Amino acid sequence: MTSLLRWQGRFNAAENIRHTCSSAAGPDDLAAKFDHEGIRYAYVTNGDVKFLQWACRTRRGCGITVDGGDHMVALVHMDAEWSAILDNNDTSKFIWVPTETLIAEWRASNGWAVTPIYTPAAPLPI
Amino acid sequence: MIRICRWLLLAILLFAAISFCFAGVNSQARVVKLPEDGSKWYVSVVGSDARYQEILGWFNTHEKLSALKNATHFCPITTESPLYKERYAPNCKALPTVRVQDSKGVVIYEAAGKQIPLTAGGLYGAIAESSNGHELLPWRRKHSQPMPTPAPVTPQPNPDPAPEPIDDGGTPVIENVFEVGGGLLLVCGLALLAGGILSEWERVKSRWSK
Repeated sequence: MTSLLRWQGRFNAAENIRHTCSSAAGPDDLAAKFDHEGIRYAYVTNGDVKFLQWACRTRRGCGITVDGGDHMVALVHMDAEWSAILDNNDTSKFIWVPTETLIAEWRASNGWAVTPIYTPAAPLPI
Repeated sequence: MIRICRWLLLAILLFAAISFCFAGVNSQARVVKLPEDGSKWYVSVVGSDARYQEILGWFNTHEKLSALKNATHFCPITTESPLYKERYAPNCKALPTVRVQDSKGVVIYEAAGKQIPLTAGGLYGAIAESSNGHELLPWRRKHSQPMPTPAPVTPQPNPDPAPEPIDDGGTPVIENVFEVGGGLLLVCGLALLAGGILSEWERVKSRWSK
């Protein structure tokens, strides 16, 4: 979540969340924390893939649960074939996973996805 | 004793009903409208000095620049920002920088340092001119113009005859030549026989009449 807040230019909020929010926080805990911090956000807990597609289509990305719901990673790309995630334990490289596999893992891990709603970082110039 | 039990049961039921009602309220889902802004352009203003602050202020005070700010993803980036170090420092020629990009990242307008117009109106005019395609950055031209593509391949007629449909089963319908020929022979035979009998009858009849 820290990576996503930074990506959307909310550096102070990212630091606050990093220091105060437990990694074991569930949807209700995180929603309460975001509400307290005044952070705009959206989330689903029903495994709706359209939310992931929207998050990637608008270049915001989103946090998704994996590992049976014990861990959250940042989903930063999704197309019909491949998805890319960033793990907070090592954000230096993308982890590419077949989209079908990722969706199966996510849905088997409570299907929770959440993202802040701010301005995503501009693309690198072409 | 029975009366106490009744009251206790009533209290438990009342508590359960109240808990259920509140649980229902708490579990109501909030629905937010997700912005479909994936095709928005990006306006980045990068810098940290007084000139940067002045240009940033234009996007609040100048009517048209303010409208542009509201219609795009507006990204004010200071040089202290981690995003600057990761995504802007390697490609900013000077500071401050004003960069307008389409949703794919193609630079529509970019000015840095002393290239940035003196006034808000001037900056808006420069952006408007570039976004109309009148003044593309030289290094952008090759990206913004349609790229030549190979001529479409005209399909050649296939000299091979169309393949026959594959019959995958069933008895093929074949006319029985022997049956047809046999019938014909039978008719001919009967005709000859009738002719023979008739001619013999005529011969016998003429003998008897003699």
